[in-house]
Amino acid sequence: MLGAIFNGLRTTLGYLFRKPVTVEYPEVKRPVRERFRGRHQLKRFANGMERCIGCSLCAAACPSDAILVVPAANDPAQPNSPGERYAATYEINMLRCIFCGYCEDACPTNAIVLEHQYEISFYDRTSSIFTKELLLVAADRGHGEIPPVLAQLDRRPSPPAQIDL
Amino acid sequence: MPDVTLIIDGRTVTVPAGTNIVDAARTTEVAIPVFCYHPKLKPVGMCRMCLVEVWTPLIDQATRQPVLNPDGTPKLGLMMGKLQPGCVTPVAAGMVVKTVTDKVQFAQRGQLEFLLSSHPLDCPVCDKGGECPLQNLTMQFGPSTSRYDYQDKVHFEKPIPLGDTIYLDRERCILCSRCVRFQDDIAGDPVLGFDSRGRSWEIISKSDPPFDSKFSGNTTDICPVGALTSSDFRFKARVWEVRPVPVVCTHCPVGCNITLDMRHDRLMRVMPRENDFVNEIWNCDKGRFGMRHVDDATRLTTPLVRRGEQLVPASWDEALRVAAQGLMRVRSSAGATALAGMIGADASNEDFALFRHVMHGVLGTPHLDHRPGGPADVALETASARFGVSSGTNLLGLGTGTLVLLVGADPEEEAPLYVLRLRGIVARGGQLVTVNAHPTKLDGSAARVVRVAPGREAALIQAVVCGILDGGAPMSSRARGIDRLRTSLKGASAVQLAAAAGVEFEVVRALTDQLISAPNMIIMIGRTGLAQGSAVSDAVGALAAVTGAFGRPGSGVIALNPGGNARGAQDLGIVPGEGGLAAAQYWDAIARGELKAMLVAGLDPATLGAASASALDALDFLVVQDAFLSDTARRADVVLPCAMLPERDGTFTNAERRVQRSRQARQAPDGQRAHWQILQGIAAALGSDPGYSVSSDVTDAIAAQVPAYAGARYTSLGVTAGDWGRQANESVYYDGTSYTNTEGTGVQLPTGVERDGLPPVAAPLTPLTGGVPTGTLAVLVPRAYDGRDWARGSKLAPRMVPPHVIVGPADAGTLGIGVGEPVTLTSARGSVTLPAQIDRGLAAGTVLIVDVAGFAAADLCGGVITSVDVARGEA
Amino acid sequence: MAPSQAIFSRSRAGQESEQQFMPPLTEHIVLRDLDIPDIGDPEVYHRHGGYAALRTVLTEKTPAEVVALVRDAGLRGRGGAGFPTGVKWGFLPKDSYPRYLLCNCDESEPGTFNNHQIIDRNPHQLIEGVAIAAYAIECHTAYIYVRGEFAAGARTLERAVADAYRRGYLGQNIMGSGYDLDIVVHRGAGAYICGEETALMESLEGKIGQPRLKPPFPAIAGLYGKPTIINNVETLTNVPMIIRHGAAWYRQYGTAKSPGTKVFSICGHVRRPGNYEVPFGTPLRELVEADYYGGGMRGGRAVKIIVPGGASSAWLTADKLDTPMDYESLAAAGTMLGSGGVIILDETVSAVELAYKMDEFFKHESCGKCTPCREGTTFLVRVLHRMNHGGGRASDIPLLHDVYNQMAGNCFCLLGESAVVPIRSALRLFPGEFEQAIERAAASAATLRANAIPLVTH
Repeated sequence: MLGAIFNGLRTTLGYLFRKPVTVEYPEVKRPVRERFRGRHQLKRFANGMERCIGCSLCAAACPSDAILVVPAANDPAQPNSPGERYAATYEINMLRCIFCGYCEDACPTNAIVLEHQYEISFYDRTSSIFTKELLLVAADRGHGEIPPVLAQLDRRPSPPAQIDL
Repeated sequence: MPDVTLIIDGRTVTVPAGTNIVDAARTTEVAIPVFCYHPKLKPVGMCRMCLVEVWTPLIDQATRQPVLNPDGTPKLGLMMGKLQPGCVTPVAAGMVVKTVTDKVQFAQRGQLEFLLSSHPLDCPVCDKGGECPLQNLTMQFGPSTSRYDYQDKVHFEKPIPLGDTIYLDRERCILCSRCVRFQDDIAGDPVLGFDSRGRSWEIISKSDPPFDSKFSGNTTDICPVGALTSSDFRFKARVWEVRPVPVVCTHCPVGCNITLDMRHDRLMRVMPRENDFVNEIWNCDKGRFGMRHVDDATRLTTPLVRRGEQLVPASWDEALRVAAQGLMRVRSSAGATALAGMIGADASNEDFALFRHVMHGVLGTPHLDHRPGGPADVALETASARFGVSSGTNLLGLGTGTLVLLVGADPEEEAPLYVLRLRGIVARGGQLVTVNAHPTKLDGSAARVVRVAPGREAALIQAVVCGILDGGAPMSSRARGIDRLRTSLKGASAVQLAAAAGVEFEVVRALTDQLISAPNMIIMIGRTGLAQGSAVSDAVGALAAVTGAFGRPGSGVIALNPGGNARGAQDLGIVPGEGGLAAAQYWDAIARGELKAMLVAGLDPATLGAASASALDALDFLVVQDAFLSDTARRADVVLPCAMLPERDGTFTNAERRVQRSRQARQAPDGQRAHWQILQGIAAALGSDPGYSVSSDVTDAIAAQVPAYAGARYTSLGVTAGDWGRQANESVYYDGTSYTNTEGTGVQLPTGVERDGLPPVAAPLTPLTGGVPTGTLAVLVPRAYDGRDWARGSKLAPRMVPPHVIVGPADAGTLGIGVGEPVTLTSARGSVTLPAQIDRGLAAGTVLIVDVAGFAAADLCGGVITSVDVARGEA
Repeated sequence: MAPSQAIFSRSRAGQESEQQFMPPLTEHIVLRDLDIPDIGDPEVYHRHGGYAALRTVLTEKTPAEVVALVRDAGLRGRGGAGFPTGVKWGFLPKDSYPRYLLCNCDESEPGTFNNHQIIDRNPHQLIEGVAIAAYAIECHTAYIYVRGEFAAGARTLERAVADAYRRGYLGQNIMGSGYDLDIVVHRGAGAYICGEETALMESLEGKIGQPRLKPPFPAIAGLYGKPTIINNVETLTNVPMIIRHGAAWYRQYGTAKSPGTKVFSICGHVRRPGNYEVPFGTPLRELVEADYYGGGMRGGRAVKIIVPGGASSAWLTADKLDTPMDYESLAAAGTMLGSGGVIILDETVSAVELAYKMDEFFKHESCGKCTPCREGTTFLVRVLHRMNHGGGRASDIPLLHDVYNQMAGNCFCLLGESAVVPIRSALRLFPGEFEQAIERAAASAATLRANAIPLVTH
């Protein structure tokens, strides 16, 4: 009879001494894969300028119409982004987002990136709308130089390239 | 011209001789890519995008006979041994055009690679992106990659303002000259030009103020790249995000078809919508950039009701009840004739129907009017109803054989789009004759300019009529009342009348010959003519009667009654009824105590002058329906906020009697209601609710009750009739130009003769044979940029005309007046000091006063023409 | 110079060969009387037979006779196309007046400088030619459009025109014949494109100098929309001599199809650059090597490239030195006579650099009206520039071929077509030099990398 009990608990007891497959979330967080698509971030260049130029291509690419971009003209004295245009409003409705990453693909400046954070929950529907303030990384966390293709969109007059004659 | 048959990409096409290959291809749905070519502009062959292979039959030099292949077909040779630009190569019989060969495709790829070699890669931030012909043609015909080094691209300073409303980005410009050609050929404002050469060739503005044209916005449409963008739409939205809503512009009697591009209930931009019967693919800057007032922060949001000295917000129910009770109270105490009503001429036909229902049907007053009650009020004319342009008239189709007679009209200021339409007629071989007391822009396009003494337009037309009747010229017998007309002119001769008009008799004789020899004649009367009582319109009616210029397509009278829907107001009875007063008479009647209560919808008579302002103060009860808290609204007992153009639908009738439907683009932001809804609310509070639920109910009621409007129901207004504009495959030519019209081109109402077959009656005339007036006459002239409510928030604000007086060089010399110096005008009514401008074309003894916001015209002028004393300096 | 003179050729250093050359002209047609001091003075010009032809024409001949005479003489336009002048004059529509005569003195083709010498030294022979031509086509206003850079020449011409008015050769009732003619000297603002006939007319009308759409051709609707004849300076300078001596005399010079003489502006690495008037059909070698012409190559170097008709004509190499200089022979050799500016370059010249310099000229002078010329010349110049400065890439040779093919035949006027010529010649004749230029170049991917937008890495 004892034998029968042990026999019945063999699997259970066996697992007692194995490494568990579960983790104690939320105390322990499982790392995600490099290409995991989580919450979006709006990136900056190394000099702190926003990468987003307000082109709305992410909104056009979005299959669930989760993104709203309202562009505006940059103040030349205090530009937010390289060139003439920036996103005055940038909102993502996280209830609608399906994390497909099309916005990343559409972005011409690699401004929007689906990062690794997956804990996105909210108590009401309005807080599901992530504003630009929430999405934008801190000013000191930019990286990369502004490439010429963007630098040349600037308002500054750049004289025609000279050819020596 | 004889027709020519040729083969394009294997399809046989027959087109009139002289057609170019691109146009010929369009008829068979072969789209040859183009940049500099535009269907509305003359081809120039600059961009070389339309290169095609053109094979023509070889001709034997010796025998002058076609060379034949062994099988008997004509042997073909490549024209000039190279590709030919399709836009400037006329078709020829036996031609074989190939548009998709390797050679052609190599050239197309080449041109696009070249164009992109100096075009910046800023499509993501370019306002043209999404409706850009360069993008589209690159996708269809261009190379996938550029072999041109990015750092070799030409760079210029990013957008430079070309004017108040237009930005130029020289990097993006592909130098197709569409804008320059539009300004030169179509608009007739040659204010753009080119500077420098080669890759440094660039567009410049040659005028002061820069880009001084009322049609500048159209250049942003026809620009095939994002080089010209409007400051109004700059970075507002991407074009694929907007929701285009078809509406009808109510700024002037043309009734341009426009599209409101809405994004989430915000107006992003205004675009023209193609309608060859009205505005082709153009609109004017006033229509395009003058719609920002709909989002103005100062709009009224709730009804206001007077409590003591204060206007306090009230609910709609309360406000409508107070309004109805107030009107009813005055009616019970002082009778229906103590009530008066006026509604602005830019309201819809539905508004007019309900206005008439409330004021006339329910309250029973005869005092109804659609005019503002100022000195420039036009007289009610019947000429355009009796002798109006016949249905089937399309100014786009008129050219050789058409004479356009402008009488007391300045279309550039009154109805800007007519400038393009009339210049188009001239370009197609028609003739333009202007009769005016002062220079106007269209004088430059006119075959004959007749300068009359101020207020003597009627005398000149009478002289012509008299000359035709006396000369026994072949006369149309279709009009009735010719004999009475002849009798009425018995006492006068053409010579006397010409002298009265201040015009040499020889000029009148030459003009008469010109008028009677024209197969088609359009007579256009403007505000200056219409405001001189009915003399001008009667004379014009008589002229149409004796020349037979009525009752057939391409002929007739067009009256430019101010306002977007004055024609509709007159048709629907918003005119003084039996024993009724005209709006201009209201103020004295109030002062006399005859009128005690008024309902004013969409008008601001308080700004006209002291008389109307104090009269409004003296009213017992005043209801005002307006979008803004105007001077009149401040005096009101009840103010009812009305919906504006994007928030309402309805039908509008333009100067050519075309009824068109305007649709609702959004819900009113604060629950404002359309005039007809407000009026229906008042009617309900008065116990006589007609019970319409949507605007089309009213339209149907109008169609049932007003015979002329029988055909103007929503169903018929929504029909886009057959061959009226672009073909299905023509996005190549019209990309970004305007919106295709899929929502209906409207219905032109029949004239009386077409409806009931009875020829119109020519009214007898009173000959104006007095001498030429002496002393200085001031003409109150309209200005398109008059700075009224529509200008709120508009990019055109810097271009608003300030109040000023225009004097001729002779008067300026005599009085020692310089430009900008103050001039004091004194009339029987009062005295006003205004800064002076000098117009070199103005005759001595005539001064012009511009009728704009900030100038209380009624304080100086008793009518459109006023006798004044002019003195230098302040009073 | 004695006839039948044998001279030593210096075409190859050290290899002296004996060659038989034609003698130089003893009587010049275009460059006549240049050795007479003060020939620009109307008195001196008159003393040497000046304005006699004009008097003959005005008093003895009808316009149609003058046109017929010029047609019989076989005079061909010297501006480049070589179209028979008499035939051109006959194209004017009947009974369409006023008509205009334009004299094209916008000589801007690189390597050409003969018109300049004519207006600078002997302006009256041009004025006489213009007057005769104007009489022949029945016009009463003629314009001489002078290149903006020829300030001194234009002043000389203006003085000469004023002198001619004073002496009654121009103005009302010339020489009592009842014929009126006004000549206006107009200076351009300095643009190569204004030598193109329709661009010249635009410029003359006060507009931006850009070619017009053809048809309508100038003979139908030219200046101010009226029938217009436009002739080169050298063409018109021939006319008085044809009148004076007749068609048969004129036809003794040159070949049957290209009668008369031509002033060649010889420049480049020859010993004696300058304007030489020679009969058509004179071999190129003679122009280069004869002592009384070019005088051989400087420093005895070998001839490498010959540009026979200004920068817009295709290049020839030394093996084509025996080509006779007339319209047909040069066309057969794949080039053209053009404006007569013969540029002779020696072996020290790099074909790549020459193509670059010439296309740089065309890029600079492109008016910008049509895409292939405006962008294509810029494109060519950018590629050739980097090739010349050590930035050439292997893909550049097919690229250059593509670019000029994208231009060839697709341009609005001949300027763009001309810009194709140097690069096409260079690539055809000297492909090896382009390959060497690329081999020399250190391939640099740095510029490409600079354009990439860096991806964010975590």
